[in-house]
Amino acid sequence: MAGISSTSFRALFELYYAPLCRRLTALTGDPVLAEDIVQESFLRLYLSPPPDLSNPGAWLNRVAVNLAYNELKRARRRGPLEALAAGKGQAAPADPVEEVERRDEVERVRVALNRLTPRERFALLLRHSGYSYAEIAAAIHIAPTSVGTILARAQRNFRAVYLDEEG
Amino acid sequence: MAACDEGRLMALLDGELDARERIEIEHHLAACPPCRARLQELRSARREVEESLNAYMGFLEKMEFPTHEAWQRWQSQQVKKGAMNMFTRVKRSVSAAAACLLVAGALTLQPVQTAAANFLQIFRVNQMTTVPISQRNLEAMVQELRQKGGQVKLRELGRISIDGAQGDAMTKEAQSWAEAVSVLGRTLAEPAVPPSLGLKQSNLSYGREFTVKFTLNVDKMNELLRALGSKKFLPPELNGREFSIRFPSIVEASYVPGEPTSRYLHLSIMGAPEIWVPAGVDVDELRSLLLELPILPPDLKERLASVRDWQHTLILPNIDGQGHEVKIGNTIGLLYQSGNDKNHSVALVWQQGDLWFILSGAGLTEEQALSIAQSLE
Repeated sequence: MAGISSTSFRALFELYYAPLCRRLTALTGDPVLAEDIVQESFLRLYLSPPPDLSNPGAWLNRVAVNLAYNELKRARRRGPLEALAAGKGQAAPADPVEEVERRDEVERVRVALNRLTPRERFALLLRHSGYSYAEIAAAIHIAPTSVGTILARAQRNFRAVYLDEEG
Repeated sequence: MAACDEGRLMALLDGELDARERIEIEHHLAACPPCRARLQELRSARREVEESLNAYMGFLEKMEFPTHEAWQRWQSQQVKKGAMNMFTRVKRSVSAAAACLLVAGALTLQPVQTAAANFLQIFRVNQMTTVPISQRNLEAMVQELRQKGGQVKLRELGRISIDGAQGDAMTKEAQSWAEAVSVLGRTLAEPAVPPSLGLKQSNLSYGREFTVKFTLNVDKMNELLRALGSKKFLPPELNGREFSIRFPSIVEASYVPGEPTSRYLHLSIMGAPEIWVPAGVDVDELRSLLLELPILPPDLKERLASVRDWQHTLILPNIDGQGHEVKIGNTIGLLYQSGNDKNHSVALVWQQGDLWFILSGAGLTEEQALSIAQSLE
């Protein structure tokens, strides 16, 4: 009755689970929260699939981004996120020195992103993953004409923290 | 000036201005050195931020999210939420389900009682059988239904409402097995789950009966039937008449492992659902209308038409031969198995007296499932 058979549901899970988790980890800064959100998105797909499911990946992505944004706004999550800092599930580094330097930079990016408001953070990361202004506006519930302003402010605040961390 | 506030300069860099706006702002920039400097600043900041984010995303790209474990977690959460979901699923997909239920209803009707007072025909589902169908055929049917019936919105087919407790009030936690099964109006042995499975009861709850009612919009129904190529249509007298399905009380018990494995067990016990059809509806006619829908594959049509005692039989699809009949005490159950050795799931459905039993789980064998089923006798 749900319109999606259990085998094809499993296939969707196999296909989209990990990529969605990565994207949501970037957005939330928290891999555990990211997995919870992705699980919730699949639950919604399971319980009330949209009548037209020609692009399930896009549908899941939209639902997950929306859940994440609401969650971050609600919880105003910031603070250090140990799981990511510890490099959860990372493959062994090829060159340890390079790896340390790289991780240091990643850590600074993460700290800087965490200082932004959810709105700034989402605007910045969604643009980075190729969203248009119209799509960003829809995802974070603002007018399309305000996207540029938010991005400019996000950029400025990001750099302020990032450069501060460097020095 | 307002023409080139920061937001618009950003939009210019991101290629988000239309031609007119772009020309306007470029004119202004040509004449305004401070704005040019701000644009330059924004541009270099933008580039630095992009580089930082590239490094960050490159790092995340290597993060592993083991899909297999996630799938198992997803499934076991389904079990924990099972009790609620069984109802929410009914509620949420009720509009989509209405058409299906009507099919199931028309195929499984046998009057057990004619309530003279309100001129209702009441039918009780008290038998079951399987009809083989392939995944491919099933998907083709859904596809065709969606394409041809796509013009008609499901919610226009009728009005649906639910009587009875809703939301959190629908299910209650029970303190003991005896308390839970008391809603079924009889006593029942507690299931014996082999200790070797390492499962602990995580949830024991019961729900009171509720009734799903729907009134048909005959014009819209007929529009759908026509789109699906039907030659027969519903009589206009059916318009606005109320059909309902009464779901009796239900008991649900879940068992989860003490250690993180994918094993789980879920048991639901409920009284036989009843379908209430308004007086004057010719159920034989309704059945033949549905059986003659061109979207049913010919072999399926034949199988459905050949079900003896269709009037009180629940028809379960046996997809790709995954199910087979098993003996539980003196009754016949249907056992479905799927998955491989590592991730094996079982579902067992049987009916005894006036109760329906559904046992589902993963990580247990057919024999183990059957022995748990037997222990409920």
